[in-house]
Amino acid sequence: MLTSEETEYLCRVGPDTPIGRVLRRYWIPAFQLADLPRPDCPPIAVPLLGERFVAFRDTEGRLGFLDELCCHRGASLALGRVEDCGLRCIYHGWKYGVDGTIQETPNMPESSRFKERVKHPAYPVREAGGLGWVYLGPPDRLPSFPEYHWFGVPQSQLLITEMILDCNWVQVQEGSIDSSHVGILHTDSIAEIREGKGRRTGLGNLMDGFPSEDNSPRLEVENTDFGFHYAAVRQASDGEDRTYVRITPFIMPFITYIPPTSNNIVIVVPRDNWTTSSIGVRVNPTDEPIDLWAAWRAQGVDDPEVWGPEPERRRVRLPAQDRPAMEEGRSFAGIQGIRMQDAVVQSSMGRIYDRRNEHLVPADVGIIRMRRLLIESARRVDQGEDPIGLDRPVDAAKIEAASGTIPADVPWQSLVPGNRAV
Amino acid sequence: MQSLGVVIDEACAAVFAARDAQRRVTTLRVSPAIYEAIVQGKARELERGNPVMVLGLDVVNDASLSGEVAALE
Ligand code: FES
Ligand SMILES: [Fe+2]
Repeated sequence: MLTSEETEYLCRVGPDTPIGRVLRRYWIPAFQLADLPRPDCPPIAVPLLGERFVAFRDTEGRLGFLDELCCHRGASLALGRVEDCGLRCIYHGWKYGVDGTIQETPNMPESSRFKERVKHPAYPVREAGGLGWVYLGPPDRLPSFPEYHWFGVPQSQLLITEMILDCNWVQVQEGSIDSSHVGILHTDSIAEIREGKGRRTGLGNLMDGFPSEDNSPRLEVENTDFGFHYAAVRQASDGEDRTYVRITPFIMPFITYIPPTSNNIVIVVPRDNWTTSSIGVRVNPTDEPIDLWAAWRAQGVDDPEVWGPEPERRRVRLPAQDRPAMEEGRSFAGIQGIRMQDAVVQSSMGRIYDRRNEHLVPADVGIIRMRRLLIESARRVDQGEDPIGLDRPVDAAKIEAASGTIPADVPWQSLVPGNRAV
Repeated sequence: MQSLGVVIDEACAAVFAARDAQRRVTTLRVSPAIYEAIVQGKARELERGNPVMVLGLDVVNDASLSGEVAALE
């Protein structure tokens, strides 16, 4: 449980909040590069951490990330025209470069030196792994850019599925690092994989066959230089002295790799206090073509009534539960697809779940540790220090998730040698 | 602000340590400030007659403790 004050402290993301200040210290995966496919394409509005930004790609192909509202009189620059190496406001024609330079102010006398003296807020932005990453923190604290393993993968081998949910980011993030729901909420999906049902996605499986019947795993958590990782250790189906282990790394503060491999990445980004992007990045480890429909179906986003890949359809319209399927024993939860099952329960808690009412158990250790790292990071940032994950060099490319059946006396850490404990 | 989030993480680590040592634990002792925060947060639940429990352990107010420590027994 948390008190109401502590829930507020943990969940609020605006610029003047403790966790908002923490989140602004990292490179933030803010938008999909697919939304800015070519020079001078239309700009996009990017709501992020309770603020409004605009992203655009100029004539030379450079990305710009600026405050959304024009600094003349506040019209949205997401309505703007991208032309001649800049973004022009359609209200009175003020024009901005990617670095926030004010290039033109048509309704101001030529003689004014305003343009040379004033800059529009612009932020560092980088492109990698199919996403645009931005930094909103103090300029003198800009961290080095993390080189995650999937950054080298060509965009054609990445499948990015962004689901926008109407609830606070912390309850979504808590869902990503929660191992003890996997064998229950996702019962149907696990059964499908075990029985070899369902069309091949071309992406490998979202799940392994989950070779264990044990729904009360022993959990072990260990702090690492990037945040923490934890192992859910279960009695394996294939023998007394063997354990089935799933290891989940949580990379402060946005990213989780979901076992069985590091190719299933979930990124949780707060748009504002009550709206969250849950961005799935699937890395195709093979040269098999991705079957988009099958991949969407496995995630539960194949129904156009519920979700679509276009920006205006990414907000999830929660599906009705299939009660007949539940009653007839065809489905446990009555919801199709792993990520939709997650989305439905996470949103069902309400916009910001009141943690006074929860009854945590030791199996919630991943959630408990994540909250602690955020709270500790907020304390550190308050004292002028670096938050967890930025306080020492991290070899981001080596961070990994894993799952496998091993002899009970072998330490699970041996499956993830790239994760450095601290 | 003293954090329940930190106390519960400490307690959880202690629960795992007890489990590894095959020691049975039933009670979580916390400082008066933390106890007060728990009781206030759970007021409605306690009115309904529920016990004060965290992580499945009975919570006890221990004036000899201060800060964000948690002691198990
Ligand atoms: S059993 Fe976990 S939320 Fe209901
Ligand atoms: Fe899940």
